[in-house]
Amino acid sequence: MFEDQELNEKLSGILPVGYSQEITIEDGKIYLVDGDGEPLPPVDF
Amino acid sequence: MTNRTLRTQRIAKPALRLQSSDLFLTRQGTDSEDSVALMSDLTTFNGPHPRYHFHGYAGDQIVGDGKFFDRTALGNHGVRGANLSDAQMFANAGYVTTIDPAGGATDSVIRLPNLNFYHLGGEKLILFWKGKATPEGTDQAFIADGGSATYPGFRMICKSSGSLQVALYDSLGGSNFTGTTSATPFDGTLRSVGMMIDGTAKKWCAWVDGTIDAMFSGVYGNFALGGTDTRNANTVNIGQGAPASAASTNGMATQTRALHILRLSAADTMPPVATMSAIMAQLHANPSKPILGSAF
Repeated sequence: MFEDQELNEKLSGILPVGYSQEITIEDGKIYLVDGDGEPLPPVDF
Repeated sequence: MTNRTLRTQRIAKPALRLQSSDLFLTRQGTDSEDSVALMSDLTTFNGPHPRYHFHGYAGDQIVGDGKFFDRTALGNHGVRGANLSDAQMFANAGYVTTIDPAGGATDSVIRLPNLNFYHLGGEKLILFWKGKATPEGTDQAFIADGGSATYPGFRMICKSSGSLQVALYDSLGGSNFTGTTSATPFDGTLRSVGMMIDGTAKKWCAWVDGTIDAMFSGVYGNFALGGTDTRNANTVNIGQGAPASAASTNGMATQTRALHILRLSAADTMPPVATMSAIMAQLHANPSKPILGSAF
């Protein structure tokens, strides 16, 4: 997903298995949504 | 053009006058003269959509052409990377082919001139591709002009599952990734994918084989609601995300039959989903023809 392989590994370590929803990375935090599209609490990235 | 003709036919004794590329019509019994249309407007109406950045169709190309020709008047031809020969580019008849970027020979892709899509500024991006691509064991850049803070821009990603994902990157480390399509257009067979990103409404959509993907339930989906500053000076690459100077191995082998890219301004209105779906269906059936100015 990124040119930087370290970032890819970092991201894959955070994403739930099988996660296929939208992802936003901003100000050092990663924002995910649940199956209904509702935002989940941000996680430090 | 049809509407213009009907209007002329409805007037009993019209007078027509052409002056300085303007067409004027005088109604019977009146002194007023209506400007029907600028000839330049008519050209736009019947010609390729004025927001085209690139329209390529490999079905009409042959070994020796050297480039993936842009069929618009812009001349935004796709050029071969230093590690992609003409013979390799036209190794598969009816397609332009790129090679998976590998260490020591990463410039094996096709590069189009800079697009500089500005999502945060409200621009819209419409892209249609038809061809063959096989997913790799990990996610790879498919068509893109960026993919990091160093190279901000957009990226279409071929997931290892064969699905499509789209991402936007800014220069501050911010990025937005869409969900992944339900359909898997990357399976090594001839398929098409289309996508649109609306920087004004902060929406996106994807079509596979001319049909809106099931993940959208028939309506545009939200995406990157805060906006992403995707401006850049990069090339748009088929088969890779980063420019040649980055020597990136993130990319994949592709066989492209056709590619359409349009960038709409912030002031342009994004066509409704029904219009875009009709366009994608037509492009899937006949990608050699451009989207006309009259389409939206």
